Amino acid sequence: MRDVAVVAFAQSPCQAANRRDDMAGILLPVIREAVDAAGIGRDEIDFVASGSHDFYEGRTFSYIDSLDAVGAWPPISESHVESDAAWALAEAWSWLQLGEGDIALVYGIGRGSLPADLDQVMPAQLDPYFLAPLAPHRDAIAGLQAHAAIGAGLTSEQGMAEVVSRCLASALDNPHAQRSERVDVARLLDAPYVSSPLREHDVAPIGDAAAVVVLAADDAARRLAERPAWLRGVDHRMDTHYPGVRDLTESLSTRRAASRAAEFAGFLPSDVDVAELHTEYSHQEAILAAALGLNGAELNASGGPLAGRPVTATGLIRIGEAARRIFDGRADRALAHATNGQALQQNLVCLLEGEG
Amino acid sequence: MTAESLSASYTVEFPFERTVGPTIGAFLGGLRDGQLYGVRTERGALCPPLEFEPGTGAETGELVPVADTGTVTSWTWVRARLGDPVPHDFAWALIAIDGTIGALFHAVDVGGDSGRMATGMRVRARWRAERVGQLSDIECFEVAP
Amino acid sequence: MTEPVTTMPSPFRMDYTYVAGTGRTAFLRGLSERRLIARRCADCGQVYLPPPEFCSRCLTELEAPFELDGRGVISTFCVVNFPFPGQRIDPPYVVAHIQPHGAGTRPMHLVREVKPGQVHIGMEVEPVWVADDDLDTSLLSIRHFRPAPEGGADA
Repeated sequence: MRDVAVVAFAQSPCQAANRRDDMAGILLPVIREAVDAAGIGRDEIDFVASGSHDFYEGRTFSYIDSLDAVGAWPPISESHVESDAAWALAEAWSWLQLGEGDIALVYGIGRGSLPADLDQVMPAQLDPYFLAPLAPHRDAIAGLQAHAAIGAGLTSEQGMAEVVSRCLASALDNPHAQRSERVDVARLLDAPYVSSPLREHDVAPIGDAAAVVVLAADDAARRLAERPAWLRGVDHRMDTHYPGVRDLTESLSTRRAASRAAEFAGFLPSDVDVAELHTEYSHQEAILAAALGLNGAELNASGGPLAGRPVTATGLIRIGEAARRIFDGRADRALAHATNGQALQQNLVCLLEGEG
Repeated sequence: MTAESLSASYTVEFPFERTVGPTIGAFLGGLRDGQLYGVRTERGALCPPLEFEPGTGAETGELVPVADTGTVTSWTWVRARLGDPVPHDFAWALIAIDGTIGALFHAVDVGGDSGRMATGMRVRARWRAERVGQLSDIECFEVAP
Repeated sequence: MTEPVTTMPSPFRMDYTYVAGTGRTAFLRGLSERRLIARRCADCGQVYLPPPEFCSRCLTELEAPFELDGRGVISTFCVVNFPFPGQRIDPPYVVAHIQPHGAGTRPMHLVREVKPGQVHIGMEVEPVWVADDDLDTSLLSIRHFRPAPEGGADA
């Protein structure tokens, strides 16, 4: 295995709706910031991987627009996933492991504001025979999961509100957060349900942003960052898609991905100081913490997705935020988790470590 | 820098027709006939049927008729929208069909009163009079007497 | 046993907002005033029509906008012979990449007022704008391109 590290991270502010920029316009300043932070020129980037989704953009091959911000001429080596950009990072990590190059740039763009009604779009990611024809509300399957998690004693409406209150307070220190405030748990519990037992604040606020991570291998990583965030282990797994045949209260795929990542890393999720979890809903923190076996780690110190969820950039931001805490010495070991699909169907786990 | 640029609304439509395969095809044919089916697996009859056992990847067997009653294992209360299976507020639920493993996702109508919903409650399919071989042939589930 | 179903309808209908972005917005506003806005990259000299905010090769901000008259040459074209749903014009008709004089990019548009068999690569063309009342922030503000006298552009 090669040693591969995150050496730079940048993101744009999470906005409920960016009505000024096209895809390239959102992305270019973020790429510049990340590349400047790494102190590299464009010609030093060996591979570019990105993640976004046409169902949010409303056009086929929509990500092609973003290549105008990458400098794709003369032709570059690049790849794209129709998924959260954390999966693009997994591809770039594999590509670096294969020794194809030393530096990779990974970006994610998520524009959740472009669909006029997410209730039209979210069924498109569901089973086309048994679920999509019923067109469930966008948060309905998560609502079933939250209800089941409470039933299993993993959390409670009070516990979910406490997660939201903590995350929104943490987000006060995050200049990119879409939502941040000090708010009483009691006040949160006064809010009406959107898809019981989920209230509006239990649902991560969807919006628009771009994120960029620069990865480098071996000596390149040591050259580009003072304290690289070494990606000691990366793995992703998925559960079956139909919610009726899964135990929604536990995330088997997260457990398996974490276990495989820990084999690579030589340390366990229970050893990390901080964890950034892709919680699209507040109740998922308890499910993920249990599946990962976290033990006293600070959770979503950035505020996490409950403070801003730019759809397909959200998971990559988790990796960037975890790496940021290693760059600045606040953590020696960190975990980042990303998800795709409904109710934690697909999960990716990264274990990161700083040296010295 | 904060000025908005031009924007416009537009609509994307995909009028797809999808092939369903033998297992789901037989299940949907059953719905058209007003009969719910499960599919044989090593662990028992799975409803709704899948082509492969999710735990092992083993191919599932033949379809077997099952009851149209079951037990709610989880539910979420939502506001009714235009086009929903129930005209007033209702629950989406996972329903363990009697004698099967797994659970079927569908709507439960309790007359708009969320207080009547409970995990473990008994429900029965409300069939449409005109059925075409789609999941909507079951209009929703309702409280079983 | 029951007769199986073989296919089912699986329709999607989704409403979206398209955001043009700042560069495209300036170009589209120009079209509503019969103006074709271009911008040049100071680094590589490329002239973009329509212009984004920055050069997609150099990633540097483009220079101040300037106007082109739209006269140019056909760099390639095809003749559309088949009908399809939503078609605005009866086939056959010509769709071309047009290289406007002074621009480094090639917008696509219709070429009309000429028999398809007479269209050729390198043919000099000029834009035909719609009536004032029909001008809009749209490429349809140019009705089509048509043959223009050779060398007339700079005369």
